[in-house]
Amino acid sequence: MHILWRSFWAAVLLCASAASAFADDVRLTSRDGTLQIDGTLLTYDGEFYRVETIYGPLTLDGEGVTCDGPGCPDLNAFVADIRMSGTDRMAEVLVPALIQAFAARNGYSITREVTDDRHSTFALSDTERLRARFSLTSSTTAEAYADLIAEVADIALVLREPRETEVAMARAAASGDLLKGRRARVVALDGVVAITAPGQPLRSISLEQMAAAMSGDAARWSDIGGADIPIIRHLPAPHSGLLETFEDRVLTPNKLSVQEGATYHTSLKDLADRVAGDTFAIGLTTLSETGNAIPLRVAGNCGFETNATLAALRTEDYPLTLPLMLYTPARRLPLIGREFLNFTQDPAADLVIRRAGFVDQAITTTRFDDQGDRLAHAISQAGPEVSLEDLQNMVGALRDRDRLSTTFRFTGGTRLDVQSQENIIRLARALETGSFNERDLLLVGFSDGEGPAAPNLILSRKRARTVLRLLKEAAPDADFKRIKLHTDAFGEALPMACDDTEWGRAINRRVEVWLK
Amino acid sequence: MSSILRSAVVAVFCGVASPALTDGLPAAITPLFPKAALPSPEVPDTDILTLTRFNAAPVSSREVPDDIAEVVARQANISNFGTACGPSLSVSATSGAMLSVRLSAPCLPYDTVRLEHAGLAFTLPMPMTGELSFLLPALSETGSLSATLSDNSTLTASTPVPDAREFARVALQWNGEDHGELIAEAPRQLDGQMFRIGQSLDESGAVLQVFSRRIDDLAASGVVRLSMRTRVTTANCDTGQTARVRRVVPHEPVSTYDLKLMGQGCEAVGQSLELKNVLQDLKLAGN
Repeated sequence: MHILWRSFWAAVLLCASAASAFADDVRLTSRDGTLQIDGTLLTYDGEFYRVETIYGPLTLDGEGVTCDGPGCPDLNAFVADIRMSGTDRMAEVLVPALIQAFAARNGYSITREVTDDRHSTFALSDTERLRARFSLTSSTTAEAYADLIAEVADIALVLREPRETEVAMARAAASGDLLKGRRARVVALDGVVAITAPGQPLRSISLEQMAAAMSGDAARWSDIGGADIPIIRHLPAPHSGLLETFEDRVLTPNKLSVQEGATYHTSLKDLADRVAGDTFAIGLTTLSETGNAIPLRVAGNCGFETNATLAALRTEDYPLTLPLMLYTPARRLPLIGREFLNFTQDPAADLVIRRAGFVDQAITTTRFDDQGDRLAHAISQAGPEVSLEDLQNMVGALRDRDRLSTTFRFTGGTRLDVQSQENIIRLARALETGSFNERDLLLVGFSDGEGPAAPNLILSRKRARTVLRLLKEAAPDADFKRIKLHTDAFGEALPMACDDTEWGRAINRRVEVWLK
Repeated sequence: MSSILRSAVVAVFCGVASPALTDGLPAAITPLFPKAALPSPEVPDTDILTLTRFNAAPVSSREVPDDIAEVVARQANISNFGTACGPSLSVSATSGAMLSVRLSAPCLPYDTVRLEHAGLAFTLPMPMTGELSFLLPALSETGSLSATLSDNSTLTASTPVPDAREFARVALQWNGEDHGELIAEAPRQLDGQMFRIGQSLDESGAVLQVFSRRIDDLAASGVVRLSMRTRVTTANCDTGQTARVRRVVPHEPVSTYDLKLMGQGCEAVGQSLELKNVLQDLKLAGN
């Protein structure tokens, strides 16, 4: 009753203008008969009714009301229906693998009903009967948000947070604060990579060269440091989200746009297969779908090179990391749907994610000895700004420690990017479960090399402290008496990429975690 | 009883004698086993002996020996070829993690047998001799196999196949009369073998397609694309098709699951449906 009233008045206040005619198919009556709601049943999740009414959508506790009308569900044969919509690689590869692993772990048998390559439904049954149907639609991030707003999807599989326009659209559609707040959870990571055939001798290019090659600005391989043969371009379909991401992150900063003459592919598999068979070809795809083609390394002008590897994506040392997110709107999911969401964040899912070809966010360590390349660079770049003493201090502080894969990066100033916000949650959970009890965690701030060294050092210290504060806030149950958690900062002393480009500087602005 | 006698008489009368019957007179006096003892013979009626309608009956040449074989088998527990009726199934492991299967059911010739291995099934017609032998890629290290005959008797056999772990195999069982194809595309250095086993004559039949690649001798790494293609026919345009997948790939948990390909609508008859995203591609890592 209490919930009924609360929902009722909330809805009345929010959506008083949304009154319109509905073909009412259910009438929900409170147990004492004092209140009646007529409307169209949107969903019933086994516990709660969600009804479209003249006041907008209302959620009502099934315990508190009785249902009459043709739209009422059969309460004893409830089958959870969870509809997911979103980007192709998630809907076609990642989420199917997660659903199968989830079913196997919970003892459900599974039947996959295939309508076509873009629509599948996974029916999960226990020994008694059908329990849930997870339906998957492969589309794009933008369509996924549209499906959430139109209430034809319950979970969106997205590559980015909703845009302002999408949040506004949700509000206009009387979905209220559907897309408000931080509701995206990163489930896995992928990388945007440029691929070539195995026979192509050029193996590394800078992001600027990649931009020139993909846009068509560079017409021959010799323009980007290869042989004097034409570049044949293979790009993902324009609406695919992957190309949009590449445009936003690489082409636009380089003031380039895609010129005519490229071959577009709706399927990244086809794209990778075409590139693998053509030495002249270059293709834009994700690390999870390179097929038999080979990804190019990304090089900077000062000699740094990063390969899109599992480790480089986890630490976000590779510049084109792509967080894959599950976005759940502010509405209830049936119990099995919530269990599935929890499973995607469970360490047991990490292996499933890796096997499916994606990068998980497990916290792993690398030894100080494996940082040889970075140290060599630090030494070669030392000079008036970074003195020998600074380097010695840094080596002294880190020498007997291991670096965690968890790294925090900033979109500017001290605001964390999406992947790093997820890292806060992951690391906080590890702190709470005692994984680092009796250990010593050092949060080490670094900056880019632009500007004088002293302010950079201050800024890097500020970043490390920000991360420490966020971690403590996110882990209220951690036993900080048993964990030593402190900060240090070395400014621009240990660069990971070249400071002559914006993306290089973004990689260098970071907080690393070192464990003893 | 009279029918046995009648058939025997018919066969002699028509001059159609099965090999078992020409020297099969002893069969008539062999006690039935495991059935009850022979009842006392009945003296045939004279109108049966005339048998004019049998002469005229358009009996196919196949049915007559079939009947007789059945008669003799039941009577004597001995097949058309003089071998004992008792069905048997044996499997042994051969090179390349293959199961060499021998199935013998001499008294059930032309029978359809349903074989099951590692959760997947396929059907095969028995030849006239009731003897069947074939190779099957092992889909589990235990190599157990069961055969269900038309009289609903089930035979089982198994043999350990330790080298099955050196193979990556993806098997697809198609149910029903019209089956689709499992397609594997790979660069030459990764190419494996495709096995097609079984014959499906009706709705209850099933065929098995298995892609297999040895992985302990791989020099190169790469991806084998796995896809399925099926034709939309009048039989499946409405109801769709069912299939079952088993994936046995080293360093991966073994998975078996059912697929239901939804009907594409009967206006799509004649078109083919290609599914590239349903089966996960095989990623192979070279040594």
